[in-house]
Amino acid sequence: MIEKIQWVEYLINLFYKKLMGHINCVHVSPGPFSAYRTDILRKVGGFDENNLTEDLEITLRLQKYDYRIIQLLNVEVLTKAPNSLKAFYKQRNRWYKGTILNMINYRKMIFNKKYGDFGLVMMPWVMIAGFFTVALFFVSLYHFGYIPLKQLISNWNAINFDLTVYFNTFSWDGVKNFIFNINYINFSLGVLGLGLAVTSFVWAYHAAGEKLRTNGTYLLPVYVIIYSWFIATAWTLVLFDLARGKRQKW
Amino acid sequence: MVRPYKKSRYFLAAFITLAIFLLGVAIGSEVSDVKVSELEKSQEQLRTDLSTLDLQYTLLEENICEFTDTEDVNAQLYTLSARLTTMEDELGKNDPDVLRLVEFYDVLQLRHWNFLKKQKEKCGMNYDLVLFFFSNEEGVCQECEEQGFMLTYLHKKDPNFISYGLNVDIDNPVLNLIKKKYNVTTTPTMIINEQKVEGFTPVEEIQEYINKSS
Repeated sequence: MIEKIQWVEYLINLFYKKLMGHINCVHVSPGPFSAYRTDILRKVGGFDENNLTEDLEITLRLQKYDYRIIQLLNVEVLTKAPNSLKAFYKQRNRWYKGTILNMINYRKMIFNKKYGDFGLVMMPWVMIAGFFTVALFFVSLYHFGYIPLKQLISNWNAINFDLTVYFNTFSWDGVKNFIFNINYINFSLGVLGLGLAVTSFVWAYHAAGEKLRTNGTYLLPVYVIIYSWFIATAWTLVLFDLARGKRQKW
Repeated sequence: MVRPYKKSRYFLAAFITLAIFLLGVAIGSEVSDVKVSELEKSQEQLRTDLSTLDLQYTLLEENICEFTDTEDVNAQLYTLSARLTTMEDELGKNDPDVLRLVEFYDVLQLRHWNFLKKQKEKCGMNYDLVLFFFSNEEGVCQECEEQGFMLTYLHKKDPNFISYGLNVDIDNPVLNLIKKKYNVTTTPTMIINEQKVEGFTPVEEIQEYINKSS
């Protein structure tokens, strides 16, 4: 399951990179999927072997020297994705930490007009994306988790947790009330958001020549609804590590 | 070499995003409006029902006790209350539409309360009637939410236990009269079968007041 979900993630990310390639804004050419011209690699000094994410580093360096990077979708590659939660976290920890540390090293490119779209938009975005994810994670956890849960428990506490009266009360009026009681502003925003997500999924699959069915359609909702929490948790732990100044090896 | 940066592209992207967002809000608030008018219709219906009961009572004073089947009206009152809470969550507690509906609802509640009180006295019905004064103002009444939840729970347990949640911040002549009559100065305040109780009150204590009065 965790491997299959990363298959979905890769498809989406590769499609995103393909689009970014159109405006020359690829910020990472992933290790398993990349081919370089040797003479250029030599000219810019080759891979940095001590880097946490050497593929991201070389991409930033190539961008720095104004080389062009594009994403192709009509090729097939095989890669091995982490197949346990622990391995997954270890990989993400390295990725996200590497991203931030490399961004710090290449900070001169951030908001640098010389690099056009890449410097003015892509670099700042990559820099804040992690913080943004974590902030959103905590705001939603507080707003949609902590506050309603606290009220609910406090309400149940007031009736000494005697919840028996709420069972066996099914009625059509109850259903009608439930439908009436939906917050339709949030609801329609949610439906639109989900619609956009599905559209980009279908588009991404189509562009890569893959079929939704290959690994199961159920992966889509799992990816959208559950997987994002894993990513946010990983980012939170990474930022925590960085704040403590913990170093990491490959 | 300076690489290209096209501002118009980002404006276009921001514009499309905003348009989609606004579309969502617009659809949602359209549905909310439908809900407001739906609520208004239910309240009109409830007003008619209450007037009918009232009039039956006045016309057939000696036979008033034949009209004790008020279960439907009671249920309607509770449904409306739940729906109003939803509208408060959705549009905000200080939205003019919501405030108008709440004021109307509070008046209907008092009418219902008055009717059942008369019936209780004349026909010996064993209703337990509770007026519950609360406030929605930020930070004024922390425990009103729990107290209200508890009163709804008690009604579910015993349909003859009927509570009326009255918002003390609403300025309405009838509400002001009732507040003055029972000298309500703080929230939560409850009038349990004519006995005044101030502050958050646990289930057991409410039960005690009820036993005392019956």
